[in-house]
Amino acid sequence: MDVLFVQALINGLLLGGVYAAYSAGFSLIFGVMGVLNLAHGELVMLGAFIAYGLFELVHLDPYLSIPIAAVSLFLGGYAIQKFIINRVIEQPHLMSYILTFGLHLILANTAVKLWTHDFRTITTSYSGMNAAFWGLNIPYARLITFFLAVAVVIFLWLFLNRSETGRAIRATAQDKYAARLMGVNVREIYALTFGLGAAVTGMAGASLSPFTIIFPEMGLGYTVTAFCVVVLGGMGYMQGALYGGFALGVVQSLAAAYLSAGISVAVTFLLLFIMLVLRPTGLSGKGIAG
Amino acid sequence: MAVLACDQVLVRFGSLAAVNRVGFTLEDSEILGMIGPNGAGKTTLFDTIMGVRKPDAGRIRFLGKDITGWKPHRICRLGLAKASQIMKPFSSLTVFENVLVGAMHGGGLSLRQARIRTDELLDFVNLSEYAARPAGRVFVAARRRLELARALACGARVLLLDETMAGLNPSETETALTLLRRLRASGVSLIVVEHNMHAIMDISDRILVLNYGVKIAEDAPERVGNDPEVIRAYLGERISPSLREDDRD
Amino acid sequence: MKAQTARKRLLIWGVLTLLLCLFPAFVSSQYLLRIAALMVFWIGMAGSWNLMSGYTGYVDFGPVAYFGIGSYAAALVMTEGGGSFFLALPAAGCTAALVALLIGMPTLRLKGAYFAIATFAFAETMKQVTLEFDRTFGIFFFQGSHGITLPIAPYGNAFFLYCSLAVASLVLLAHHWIENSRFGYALKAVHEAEDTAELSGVNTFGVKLTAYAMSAFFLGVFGGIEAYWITYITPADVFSVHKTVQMVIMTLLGGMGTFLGPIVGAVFLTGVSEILGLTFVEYYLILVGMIIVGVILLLPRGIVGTWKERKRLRSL
Repeated sequence: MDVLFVQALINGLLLGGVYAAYSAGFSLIFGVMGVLNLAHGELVMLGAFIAYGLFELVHLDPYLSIPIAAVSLFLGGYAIQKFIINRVIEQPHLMSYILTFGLHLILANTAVKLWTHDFRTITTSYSGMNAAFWGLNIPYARLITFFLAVAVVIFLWLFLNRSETGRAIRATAQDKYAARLMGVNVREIYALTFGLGAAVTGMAGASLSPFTIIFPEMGLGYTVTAFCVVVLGGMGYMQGALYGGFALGVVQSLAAAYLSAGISVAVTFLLLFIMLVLRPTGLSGKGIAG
Repeated sequence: MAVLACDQVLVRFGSLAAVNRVGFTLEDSEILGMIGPNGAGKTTLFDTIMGVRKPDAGRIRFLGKDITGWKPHRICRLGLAKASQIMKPFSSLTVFENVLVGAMHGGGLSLRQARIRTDELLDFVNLSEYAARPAGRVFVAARRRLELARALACGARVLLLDETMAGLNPSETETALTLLRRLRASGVSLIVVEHNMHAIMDISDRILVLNYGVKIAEDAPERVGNDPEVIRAYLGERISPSLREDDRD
Repeated sequence: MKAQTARKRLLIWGVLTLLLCLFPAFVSSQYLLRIAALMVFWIGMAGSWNLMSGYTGYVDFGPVAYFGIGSYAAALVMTEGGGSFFLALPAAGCTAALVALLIGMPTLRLKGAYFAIATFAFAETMKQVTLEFDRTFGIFFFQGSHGITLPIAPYGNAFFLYCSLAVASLVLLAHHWIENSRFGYALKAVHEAEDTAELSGVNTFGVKLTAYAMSAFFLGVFGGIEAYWITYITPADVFSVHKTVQMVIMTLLGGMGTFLGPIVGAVFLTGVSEILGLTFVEYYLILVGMIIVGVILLLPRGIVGTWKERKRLRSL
């Protein structure tokens, strides 16, 4: 087989792993609460900045800041849902979209004011290292993120399906009125869900920091990609984040290899648009439709 | 010629036949009662007739025209309308405006003509005093009359009423039945779905019985009431034989 | 009562229009003229967005797509086609409306979030297409990130004030028509309870498509005006998501689905952004963000909507 093709494929899968890592949280939040979190990218950004900050200050390896990012973003997300988004949860969903968009504007621009537009990177001892064989090139950092993504999806699946709280979350997602009647504190569940989604996303952000450019406005691009991934895989369907991520990653990678880098972005949007129109439930058919 | 005719209508949900080759006719100025246990396919059948759902097989004819697969708004403009408690009203619009929409778009009237018609209809169903109130803030019995008025505003020759008497007390039910009789007298045919047996037996000229999507009877009320299969469908196997034994005594 | 409020509205707008027409005769400062023109421009833009998203409840997150299409259509008519500005404007509007009919057909079958994402995706796709089209197919048309330069307008800001005023008036006329017509009731019915509307004889799909195309037409025309006004357009500029943000927040603040809403929102926000000055872009956006959060939490119906609700409750 053509080495270029295989390399593009591998790049695509690794990229897909990255996509899946930070899209799973988005899917969870929409699937359970119907909230389209337009500030999603800012959660990634904050996770990345936490890793960056700790690296600069105490030379903490970015992978070790993953748990710290997870906890901080869990608390932040929990608070945001509990005190802000929960207020509009009984109103038409549209309100929550616009609300999260407002939060996006506040978070992104406050970050710019605090940390300036400057691009930042983290260079560790292993930053440039790849596994190289058969003419292929596999960066270690991306490989780790790939496994993290799979681990995150497995963890979410286990949590939702095997734990008491997870069951409560699923019940609330299916029918919040019935769940309420069964004694589930719906608002609390929503806060926990958002916290969980934010934590997972923050972890992804931290795990991206070794190989991604970090800057305050990076969020919007991630939010948009998360949309695409989740629509492709199926909204609200955890494994869908993996399928969608891989599908998108591979398509983009192949487009970039064989056409041009610029066209791959156009391809992404075209794909998203076509997907929404032809099959809103995603490739797996298990997503929530419009 | 029958005003409405369903011929071998089949509606499948996956491998389950919700409406299994059901056929019946509705005559001019007739009230056809439709009964059957929950899940028998009554609402699905209504949805199919109204074009909300496309049947997997079979044809539906209204005034001789084949309306199978038509979009609901075209069917409504032709003269077929549905009222049901599941249909949300236009909550922020007033009671008057709710009916107005039906008169203009279902009935094809201009704004001015529609206003006149709406006044007439609100009078007919006794809702004139609530005309200016937002539809979302009207009590149950009035809500039902509003649904009826809006359906009528579409210029309906045939009305499909899906449990529109649910939640009414006996005197409200009596008022509703009187209203339906007046409609029949004015040339409108009705298919009425209700769980209130007394009401159905009282008002229907004929009754259609569905069970598990299959038509098991289409006959006059007295005969349907004594049909063993109907009794079995409602009460189950174990009870019905003993009923027949009691009859013999 | 309805007819009375309608006439009052038209009177107020008529008086304002007259004042605005006379404005340039008394004011010679290009700066003030520009602000007035901008306010009217945004009243028109917010109003165009309101026609679709406010009245039908199908919130469009990609209106800038039609704005951009209009800009490019006008630019191409005036550069490649050698047409005049007054030809370019209707061309811009019609092109945008045609595209809207095409795009509306598949997307209007989607609900809520999916419609929002699809329209947003379309807008971003348009941006990418104009950026990459020439390079990918090796031709010279949109000119990608080089942008298109239009013939320089021999007019000052007063001209663009009049242009914006004319189109904004049309947009408001459309609002007025909607508030008092069969079509308007159809829109409201679709917004309130689409299934019931369909079963009441409203051609819900046709109604949505019409509103969408109408909105697109006006957005396209404004795109054309902007192109001529700033003389130089690029994809990043005319397809910028910031324009969508502006339209959304102005209409939201003023009150979605109302006649006065876009006016109130546009005037207020244009004023605020002038006071804050454009150098502090981040502060402006943070403020916009806070206004959005504040409006959603405290004033979900916008200024005008809440005022109308209070009035109605008082009269009960």
